[in-house]
Amino acid sequence: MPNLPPGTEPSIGDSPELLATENAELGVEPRSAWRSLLPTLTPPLATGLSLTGLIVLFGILGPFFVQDPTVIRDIGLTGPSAAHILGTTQTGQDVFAQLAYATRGSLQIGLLVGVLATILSAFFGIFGAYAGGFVDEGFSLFSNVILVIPGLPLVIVISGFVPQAQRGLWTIAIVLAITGWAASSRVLRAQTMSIRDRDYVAAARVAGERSFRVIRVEILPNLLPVLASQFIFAIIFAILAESGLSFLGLGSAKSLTLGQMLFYAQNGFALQLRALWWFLPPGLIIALFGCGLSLINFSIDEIINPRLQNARLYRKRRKLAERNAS
Amino acid sequence: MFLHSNRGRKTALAVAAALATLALAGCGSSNSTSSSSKSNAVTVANTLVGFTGQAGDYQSNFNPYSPSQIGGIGTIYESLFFVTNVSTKAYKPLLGTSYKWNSDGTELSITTRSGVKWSDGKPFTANDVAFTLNLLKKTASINTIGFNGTAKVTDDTHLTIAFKNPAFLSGPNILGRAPIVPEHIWKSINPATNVMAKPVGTGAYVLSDFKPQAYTLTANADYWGGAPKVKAVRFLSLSGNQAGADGLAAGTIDWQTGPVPDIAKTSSTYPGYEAITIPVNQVVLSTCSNTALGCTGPQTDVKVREAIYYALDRDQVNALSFQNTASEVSPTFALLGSQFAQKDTISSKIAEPIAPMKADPSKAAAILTADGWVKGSDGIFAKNGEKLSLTVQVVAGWTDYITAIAAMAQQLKKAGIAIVAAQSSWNEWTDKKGKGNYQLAIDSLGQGPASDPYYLYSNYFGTANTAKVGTSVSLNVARFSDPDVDAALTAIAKTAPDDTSARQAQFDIIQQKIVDDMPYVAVLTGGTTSEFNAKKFTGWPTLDNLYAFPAIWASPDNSQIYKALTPTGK
Amino acid sequence: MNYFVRKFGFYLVALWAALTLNFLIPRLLPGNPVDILLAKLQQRGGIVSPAVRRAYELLLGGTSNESLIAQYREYIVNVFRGDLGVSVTYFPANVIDVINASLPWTIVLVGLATIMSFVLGVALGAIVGWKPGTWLDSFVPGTTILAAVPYFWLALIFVYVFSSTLHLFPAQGGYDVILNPGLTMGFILSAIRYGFLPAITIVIASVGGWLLGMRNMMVSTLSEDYILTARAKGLTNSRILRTYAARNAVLPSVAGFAISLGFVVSGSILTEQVFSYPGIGSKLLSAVQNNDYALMQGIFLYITLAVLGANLVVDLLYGVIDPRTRARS
Repeated sequence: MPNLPPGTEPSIGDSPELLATENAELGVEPRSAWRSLLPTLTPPLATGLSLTGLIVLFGILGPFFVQDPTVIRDIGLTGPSAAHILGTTQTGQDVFAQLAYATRGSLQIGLLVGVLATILSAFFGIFGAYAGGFVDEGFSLFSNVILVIPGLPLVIVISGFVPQAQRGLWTIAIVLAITGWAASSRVLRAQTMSIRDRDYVAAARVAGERSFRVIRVEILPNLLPVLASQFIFAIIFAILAESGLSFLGLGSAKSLTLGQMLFYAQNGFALQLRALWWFLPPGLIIALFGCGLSLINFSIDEIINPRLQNARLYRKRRKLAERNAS
Repeated sequence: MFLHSNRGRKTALAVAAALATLALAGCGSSNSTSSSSKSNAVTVANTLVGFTGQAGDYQSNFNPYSPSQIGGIGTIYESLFFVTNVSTKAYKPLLGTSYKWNSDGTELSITTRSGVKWSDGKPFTANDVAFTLNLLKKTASINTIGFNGTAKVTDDTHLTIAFKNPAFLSGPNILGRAPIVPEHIWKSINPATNVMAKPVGTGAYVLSDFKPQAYTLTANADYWGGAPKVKAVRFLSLSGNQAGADGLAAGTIDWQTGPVPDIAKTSSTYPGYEAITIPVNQVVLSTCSNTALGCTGPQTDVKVREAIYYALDRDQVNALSFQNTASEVSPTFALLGSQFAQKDTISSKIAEPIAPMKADPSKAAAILTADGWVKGSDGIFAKNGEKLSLTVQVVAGWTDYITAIAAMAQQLKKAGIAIVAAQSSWNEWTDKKGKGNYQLAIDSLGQGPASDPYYLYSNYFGTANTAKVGTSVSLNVARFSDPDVDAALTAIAKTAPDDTSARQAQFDIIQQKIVDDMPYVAVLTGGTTSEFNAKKFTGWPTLDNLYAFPAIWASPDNSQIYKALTPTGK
Repeated sequence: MNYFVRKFGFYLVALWAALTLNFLIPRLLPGNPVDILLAKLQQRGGIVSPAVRRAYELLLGGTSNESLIAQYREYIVNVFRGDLGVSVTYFPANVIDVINASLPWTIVLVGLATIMSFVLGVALGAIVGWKPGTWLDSFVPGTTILAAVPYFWLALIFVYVFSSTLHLFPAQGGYDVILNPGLTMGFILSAIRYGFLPAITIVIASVGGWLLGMRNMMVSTLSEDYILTARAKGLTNSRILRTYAARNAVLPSVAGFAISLGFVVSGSILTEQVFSYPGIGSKLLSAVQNNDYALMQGIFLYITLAVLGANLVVDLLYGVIDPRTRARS
């Protein structure tokens, strides 16, 4: 490692202020406030966005271009061919068509649960932590109790209450949201508690602003990256949990999801029959989508914690420092 | 650590040597039990490993009358005779050597075998039989055969049972499905809750080892029929329907009953194994059909049920959902396989004794049109503003039935009938079906203790086994109720089993009614497929020689098979 | 002191609320144990007749005549007495015996796998976070795909590749059933061999999360003042990494780890389904499918105690190891 005199060697511990000073010396313009809320476009982020974007497009537009996934044909289990790009299932249904509809179904569940769970965890985490005192303790107790509730029988119980005609994605989504919000509310609570004690929040309260306004204007914008990150976690959790439930035979009965496809593939002995065209694609799509979302989360982490940006820029700054030193 | 002296190193070596010895000893002593007699030695070649479909751990329970018993019926405990419902041959004598009914079926005389010993050495006598039967009568919660006679011993090998009413039809249960238990042990225990962890019986096998993941039975050297050649039978607990197939592929399971990929090619997929399929359960679409008992919906119209019956393409359902293991079914529900000898009970007055395997959507449409249904613009019939759309209840995890419904939905659409699958958990499905809160449900019918259509008619068509919608029943979920059928069932109960013409007259009445009304729409006769290791053991039942039902979970049939098998030594 | 007392009381209330919910939820399930048992019997080719139904009703369904409040009171009293009732699925075994038979397997497999993935993830995360921007760091986004793979899909592929095709590991079971469970070398070796694939799949599926969390915390910690001081004092890098950086960075991970240890008790239903591993997850699935109220309540009780207990320990521990939390509240 070339020796740089101490003081010029960049360290990942450098504060963002030092980075700003460096940039100013180099003549780089500082970013606007809103721009700095967004992550910088790095290879991981680009990969994540493209993976996610492609799969979402596939889920939204795919069903319009593929054949009917429910049509049963006498050909039974066949491999990929000209007529069926990804082959057929045990009952002759087109795998590619099923994949498109299943992706849409899984995305719907992911989105539903993401929104519901984030709303719930935001309410119980942020509002509780801001209010403090009894409300905080009460909400925290409530989220602890919810954390412990087992999801498995809850799925069956709630399904049983919904009239058959209305069943489907919403039932599973509601159950997953109910069992999934507790963990992220703890994170939000911790973050809110640290923001709550900052000066500008105290100033707003002293000025006599109402709680809701303080939360909306002062606290929430600072929590946006954390909320976004928790939202993405919730989506990943929802899709994985739904596939697990489907594997156990408890999935959403009416609509086709990736988990359901895997369930049927598993029960149709897809692996033993070496029907990899049926078994691999649904799992791959879940994995790639989750991976894409995680990569986006990875980049959002940099906004939540600017020090991570230092880590990423370490090599670049080190090279710059070496060049300047020589 | 290198600061220690040489002494430490020597000690370490000694400890290592000791551990190694222990390890070797541990490996060596962990083998299965071996008997003292050389010919009864248990080896890998004469041990049969079976998988009964047990998912999750075994909980020790060898009480043959407990709902959660895990084994022992037929193997450890024997009944008086071997009665199977896949054959109409004479009952094979086990603990009983002969029996005789009196002319009106109110008295059954039984001769028991002499020279039989319990596995704890005590002698078996007719007193044990009488004790078992009277115990059942006394303890309602274990009286699964509904025994209501009085057993009296005349001497060590003879007893008579007296009944108030003709009890011909209880014969198979009493003679074949009541495992005899030792009086000297059972008289002082609670028969409903005791799990009999150390069971004592007269059978060919005794319990030698129990672990939650597997239990083992070994051959009883002092068995009255001679020690069986299969010296040990081990039952594994696994989980998931893949577990059995994986076990076959790995050669770790010798016998299992369940689906495997590509059943037709079992011998090539699993070298050394063969498969056998017995068509023994009628797959039906149960319908809540009786408005008098509270059913509502288009399926209460008999013409709708008929239309569904004709619109089904049974060949396609068989091919896509059941891997062609299912076979034809009769709307009279008499089993069609030759072994059952039920085909002859089909009334000659029935125009179509076998359900058509090909769909006839035009015939179905004609039936509906004649009934007043009009085809709408979407191709689905409607009447008085009500669309002919029905929901079919199915359990979310049963993929073969779900696939069958998907195929049926497509077929029925061609005939103008819309059906929608409603998947739910098993809990909910049994609840809905039991209470009658459903329109259609896909299900399979069960047989009785002997090959006799009476039991099926009584269970699924008898008014005694049904109730109004809202009250849970387990058998006659279609809510079928007809006084003529009930009268015919009562008449059969009073008729001697060998009076075939009198019985047939009653069957004719019943069958005409149920074919006309069709409360259960017959789909196919589902086959139970078992795969077994033909290379390791010979003597398995074949379709020509079906001496017992070859499903591993069928007790006591499985015990007959264990006794009949011979290890090949391969 | 006040902090600890309040925390404790807080958790007692949570425990009571959870117990009440665990009492209600099973009873909201549709269906009843007798019907399901009969349906199962018939599926297995058993002879179902009215006599069988009557017998089972007497045996299993007898106690449901009391009012809900009376049952609830009895339930709470029995819980404190340690009597968890009789299971319907495994009638007449006691719920405690049923659970204790399978709990050790779950705790050992899932517990060990969780500990392994935690240690591995945190260690790797610390190393990667210490030297950011190196080639190691570029792997971190790659580990995100591991965390996003559906667990059972990965497990099934592993079974297919390593068991059915390569025959390296057994596909199912907890140990070679010829052996007897006990502290013999043969049994332990067999258990390790059978537990290898399930453990590996759990570790692979969860290591990514720990790694990422630790790495991020590590980067944050390295920017703290005391690290700069330590460097200025001339301490070696490994000393700083171990004693100053990693110790502080690992705090949130420890909290998360304690909670996931609590969830170990709920077992991994998916692992047990794929590998036929004897554990408590499959008991829970059977209990739910059979409307076995007592067994469900028993398992829920264990999960509640474990998770709430872990939560309580973490909260108390945080009060001890991080004085800032005590001061803040």
